[in-house]
Amino acid sequence: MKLGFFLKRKVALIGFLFIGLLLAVALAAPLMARIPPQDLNPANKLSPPGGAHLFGTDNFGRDVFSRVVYGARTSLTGGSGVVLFSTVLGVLIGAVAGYFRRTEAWLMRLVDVMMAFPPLLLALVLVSILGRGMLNVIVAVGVTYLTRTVRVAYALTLKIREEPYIEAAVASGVRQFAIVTRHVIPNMLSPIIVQATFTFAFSLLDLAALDFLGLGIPPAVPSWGNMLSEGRMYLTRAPWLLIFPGAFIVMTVLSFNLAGDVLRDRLDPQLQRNIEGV
Amino acid sequence: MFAYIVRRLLSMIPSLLLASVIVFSFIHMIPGDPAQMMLGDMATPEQVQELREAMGLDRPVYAQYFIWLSGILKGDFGTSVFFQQPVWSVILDRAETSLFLAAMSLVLIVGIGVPVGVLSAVRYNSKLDQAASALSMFFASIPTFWLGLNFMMLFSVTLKWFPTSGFPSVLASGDWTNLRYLVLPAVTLSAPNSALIVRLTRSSMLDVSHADYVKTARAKGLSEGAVNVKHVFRNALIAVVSALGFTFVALVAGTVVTETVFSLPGVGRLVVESLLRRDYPTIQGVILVVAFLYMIINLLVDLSFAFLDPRIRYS
Amino acid sequence: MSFPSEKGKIWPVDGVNLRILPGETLGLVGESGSGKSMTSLALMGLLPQPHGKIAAGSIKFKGRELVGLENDELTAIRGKNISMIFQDPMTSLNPVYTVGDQIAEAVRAHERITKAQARKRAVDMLAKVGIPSPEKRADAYPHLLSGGMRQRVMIAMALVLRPELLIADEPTTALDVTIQAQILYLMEDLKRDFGMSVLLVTHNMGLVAENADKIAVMYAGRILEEAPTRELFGAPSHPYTRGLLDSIPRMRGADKELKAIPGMVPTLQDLPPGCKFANRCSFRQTRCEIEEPPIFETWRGHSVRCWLFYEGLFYDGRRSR
Repeated sequence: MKLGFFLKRKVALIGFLFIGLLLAVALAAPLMARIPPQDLNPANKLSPPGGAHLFGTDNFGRDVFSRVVYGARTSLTGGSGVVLFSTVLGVLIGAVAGYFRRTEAWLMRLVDVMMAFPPLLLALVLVSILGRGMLNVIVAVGVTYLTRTVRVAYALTLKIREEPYIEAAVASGVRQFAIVTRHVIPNMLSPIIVQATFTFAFSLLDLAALDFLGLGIPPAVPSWGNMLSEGRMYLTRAPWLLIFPGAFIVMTVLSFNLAGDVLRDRLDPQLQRNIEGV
Repeated sequence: MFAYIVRRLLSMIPSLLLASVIVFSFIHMIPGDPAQMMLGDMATPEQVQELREAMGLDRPVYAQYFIWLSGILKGDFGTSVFFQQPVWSVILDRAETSLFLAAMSLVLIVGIGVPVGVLSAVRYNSKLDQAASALSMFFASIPTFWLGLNFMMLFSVTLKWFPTSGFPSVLASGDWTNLRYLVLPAVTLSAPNSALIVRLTRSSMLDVSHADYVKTARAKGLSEGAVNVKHVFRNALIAVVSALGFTFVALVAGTVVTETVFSLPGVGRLVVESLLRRDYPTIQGVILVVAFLYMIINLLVDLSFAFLDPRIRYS
Repeated sequence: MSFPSEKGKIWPVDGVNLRILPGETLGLVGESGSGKSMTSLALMGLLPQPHGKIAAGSIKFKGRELVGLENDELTAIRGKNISMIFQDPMTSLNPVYTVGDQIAEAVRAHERITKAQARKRAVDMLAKVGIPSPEKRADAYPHLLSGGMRQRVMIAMALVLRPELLIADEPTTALDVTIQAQILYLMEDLKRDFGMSVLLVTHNMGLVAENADKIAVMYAGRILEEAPTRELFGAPSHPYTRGLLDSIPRMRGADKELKAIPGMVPTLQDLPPGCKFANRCSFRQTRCEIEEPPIFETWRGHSVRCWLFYEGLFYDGRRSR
């Protein structure tokens, strides 16, 4: 038991370290990347890794390393945006639906119907409406996670509203709005934080898939998904165009999943499993 | 039971109506004029206007919605702007690929995910469990399209075991060996989903294994195997089956990506292409069909509980 | 017996020595967390796995050593020779099988008989535990039965193979008071019928007073006092036992004040080196905090783990009054 336990912690520690490293890279991108990520150099296109270009160059002769570094910025911004959007709105809507029974029926019906649309399809349609662009993509993917967060927050609110301390607050004349913001929402934070970590991980996969399908961030912006989408044409000639951005996506998503696992063990052993089934 | 099914089917009607309103309004918010798209940049404004009228695009939005809805009730999903064919037949043309792909993936997901999850839980914290946990965590963290591209590079390009792309129809040619075109896509699609099922099976087995009735079963003198199969797995199955709705959604999303990677003529790729072509009627039709299937699958899952869990009785 | 924990191994049960004769009922009494349930699980070889271990000691059943047996040897004994019923009949039956199936399963685990024969045994046993129309009830799922009925089913399941020893872990705690008496009466009846021994594990002094021949009082993983029932109630010797008895409301002498034992049970992670009860004991001496007292026999069959009984150093117990 001990072995497994510490192994898990150690691996999770690597996850946290990688997230920290990635954050540092994203913040210090201009310092890390000596060659600007947009610099075209047609004379030097598709050159393999090594020498001046650590990760090689792409079909326009752009430096893959620089683009991966700036891609970290894009990915972390995108993931944070999705988490912020879906968590803040989701907790509010879920708590309102769970606490004010008048709103419950139609809000949850709407959420149920939205769940009938596969997230990626919904995101694709939303991006088509809003147009490509970072903010639009965040909203599009955020909406698909919103429904899940609402479900979780709703279930938690139903449980919390039966707790004695809520009754006590009601009995002592606290206004309903204050009960929701001061008593209900703070008490659901730990499972919500766990959920948010997994949302971050999986939203990165969705964001990359949108880029890959050509309905994500504009192609000029360096993002790991865009790099893979373009690199796909050179599958056999320049495999490094696929390997580096792909490996970074995997490592990032993996790190957040590991972090989420440990957080779940710490904060919330039961609930998440039942709802997300992961 | 019968009354329950009827009630559930009836309650699907408002949900489907709501879904149709959402789909319709979303699609109509997509900027761009389908008539203009169809005719191209060279068309005169008069030609565009003529086509708009022919397509009913000049009518108010709510009128367009009711025309569309009444068509669906008659089994008419409208006409694809791009293919100039009924949407229904466009979907049916593409359905074969997606259904074969989904079926093969589902076999892999259940065939790998459930046994590995069970073994992992039974040998809790063994080397095998740790390896399975690590692998499933890894596969749940890989972008499907990237995994597909890597498989293609390794097994099709380098080793030449499988064709790289496309899928000639099995039903039209009667040649079942064509399914080899779908092997890599199915493996790709099943990898992240099996990983989720492994984790779910394992955790619900572990949950159940702490139940008092498992202690009772041991106290009766049942062998470990009998305890694990008859008591732990049988009860954990309920949670696994309830994840099927979730798996369906994941499979649909997965087919969109996988069919694009392997250039398969399926419904998933149809969605992406139609979105890029502004082919409203087709997107609307596909999404509505998917939502309908999702609701049916959830109904089936709920009904299966009646057989899996005697505490649940529908009346 | 040991478990690993974040602060190193913990020893929920240590130095417990119990003896049950054929046809006898031994009451094992203690607060929750005192190790009484762990003791009963250890007897069955059912310590929570994979971490629970019997680090040292011996369990002898009819002269046969159970510690160190292979799991399949233990499996053959469980349910057949030693059976167990648990506290909560609501959660102790598997919700997805009928009660008849679950009893028949116990039979078929130990005897090579047909399904029909096993079912007949199950139905007969259901009749024996006083379940009306047993033929019909055998096909019922647990959730359709009341708590009392389910506990009867649990008893039927435990006794269908006529074990020599029944371990009953808080068998009535989860039941209504009126049902409790019925269940205890039934157990007593069947015990006499089958001539088996019973280990009755409970936190309820009143329960053992009426149903046990002998009582052992457990605290923080140790047996602090053991005596025949009359002797224990007549002359409780350990300060903890006296505290326990003082905290029970009685009909007679209602004017006597109820006393609670002050303080808290020490956690298993940091047990004191000396007497485990020292921190709550009003007769505490310096020695109690340093050195764990051995067992002193104060009367025939009456033993106490307390320094007060060292070399005749009696305290003002009821005995001297």
